[in-house]
Amino acid sequence: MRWTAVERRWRDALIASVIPAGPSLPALGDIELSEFWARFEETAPVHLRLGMRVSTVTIGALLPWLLGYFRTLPGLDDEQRDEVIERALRLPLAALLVDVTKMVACLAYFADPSVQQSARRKT
Amino acid sequence: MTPAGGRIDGRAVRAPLELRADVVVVGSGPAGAAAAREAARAGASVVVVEEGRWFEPHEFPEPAFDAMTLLYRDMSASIVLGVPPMPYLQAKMVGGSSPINGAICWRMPRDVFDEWVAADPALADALPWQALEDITDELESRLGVHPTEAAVAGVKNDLMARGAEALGLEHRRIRRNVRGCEGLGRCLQGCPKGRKLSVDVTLLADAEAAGARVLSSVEVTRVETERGRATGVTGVSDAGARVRVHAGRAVVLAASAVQSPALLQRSGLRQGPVGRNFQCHPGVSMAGRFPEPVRMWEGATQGHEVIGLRHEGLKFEALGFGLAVLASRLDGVGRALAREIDDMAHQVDWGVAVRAEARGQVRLFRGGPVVLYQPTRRDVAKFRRGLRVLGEMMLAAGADHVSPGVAGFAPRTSRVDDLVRLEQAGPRRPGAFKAALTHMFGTCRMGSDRRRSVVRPDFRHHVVDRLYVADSSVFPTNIGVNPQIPIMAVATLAARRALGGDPA
Repeated sequence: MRWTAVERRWRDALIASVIPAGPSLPALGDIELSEFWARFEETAPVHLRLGMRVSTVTIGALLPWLLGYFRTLPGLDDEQRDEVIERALRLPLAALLVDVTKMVACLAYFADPSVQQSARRKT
Repeated sequence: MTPAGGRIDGRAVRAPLELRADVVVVGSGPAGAAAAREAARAGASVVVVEEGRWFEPHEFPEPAFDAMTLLYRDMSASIVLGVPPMPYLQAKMVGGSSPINGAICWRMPRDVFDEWVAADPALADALPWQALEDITDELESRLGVHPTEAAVAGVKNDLMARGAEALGLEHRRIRRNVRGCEGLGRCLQGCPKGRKLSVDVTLLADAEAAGARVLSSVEVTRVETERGRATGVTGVSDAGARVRVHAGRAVVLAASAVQSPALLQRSGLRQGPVGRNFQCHPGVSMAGRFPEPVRMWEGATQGHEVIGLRHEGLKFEALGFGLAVLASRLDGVGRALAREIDDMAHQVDWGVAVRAEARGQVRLFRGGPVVLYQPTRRDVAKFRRGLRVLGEMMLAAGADHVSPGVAGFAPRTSRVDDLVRLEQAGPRRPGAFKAALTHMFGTCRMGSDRRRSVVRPDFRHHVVDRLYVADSSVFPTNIGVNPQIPIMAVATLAARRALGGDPA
């Protein structure tokens, strides 16, 4: 199940929307994730890979249209992305997809050693 | 044909391999290691076949993603099918779950044992209580089981003690199989300092010292039978070669309550309720925010437990996750989650394991196991009760607020009234809760009635001679506590039986 270039754009925008920049930590969108995705595709079980793909299409592409933005997630600004993903969290089935995406996003985020170090330094 | 002694790494087995032994043990976790040790010490030649590979402490990675991809089956994202689908963890390495569990040790609870015997009096002779106690004493000594030292407990564990004390609930430091723990909080990724006395470095080492061989990175695909007797197992090495291990006296399955019934079914041994009667301890957790830094990733991974409500089927534990897993359990997404992550040093997560009444089953789908499981309404009531108590303990310990993580309920609260309302009027549907399964049992239940059990009280398969099951799948029910020591004790008895010995 190779990702197409368009799907990758939706996926990357979705993942970046889950963890934007915090008060003192970087945004997930600013972290290089190509190695993470390669290992994810190689080792994740099929239901997790499928869940991530369904999330990408549903929240990254369809939901913004259904909410009236008439664009996919990559075409939205930070505030609009936040609105889309917050709304998804309140929809029963979409919320399950957000949970899957959030888990994957957190794994990706803290797989980066510099993020780990920064988070540990904070008190 | 048969390399003499020691370890064989299936990653290097590229040509067909045949081995012979008196006893073949499938699986090297707590059950397999204990059974192999007992059999080898009794003088039997033993081959242990394990699907995963050996790991040394320096190979255990810190990032959760690396650990999940390296040490766990299905990247630790195995799920049971139900509403909701719930994750469960299974290790894939020599030592099974032992090198990557929280090191929590409990003895077999007497009340649970009495339940088993009341339901099937034949178990009283097959599992003599005093024999179990004697074996447990010896195991605890070998595994260095002792209460978590105050010096390495860390803030998260001390806070749980404070909360339980304020509520008048019985609590204690968790007894663990570690030696020289430094409180790195990395039990679930494998201790990089090698301080956990897991079965790969204790019981399996004892088995090897007594002559057992360990064949790692080989997946057993089938139990071989001939004229009603188990004669060995076949499998395939990681390098793709066919492997056959002949068993002269016994084949002992110790591959877990998910994999053992799947192997029986794959081998065409579907007699009795194989795969049915699946039980477990579903768990839910509560996050809380404390004014002082807790740094949940520091200190003993799981160092404190609240046992005062065990009679209700509830057991509370301080949890210890790496950063990624902790972050995924925090409130919200987007900017709200980013703020929570920034504040992560103040966040803590505690869990409650539920002795659930629900029964599921393990079935085969395309040759692999699929678990079907659905908590009952009474189980969901225990989720609500457990979350209420967790929240009350956190607030009593000084939390600013708590986050129950229940769909349709306030995402956070600082009021005990809200928690009471959660218990009394919270959601009834399991899908509202983020539960995960731990500790699985019952899928090859032992018993005297062959219609209701898979193995006899002496662990022998009801139909196939010389075939034994020694892991938690023989437990008639779940036990409400962390089962690694009871599993080892029961597996020791199973090995004695397999060699024709008396349990005592």
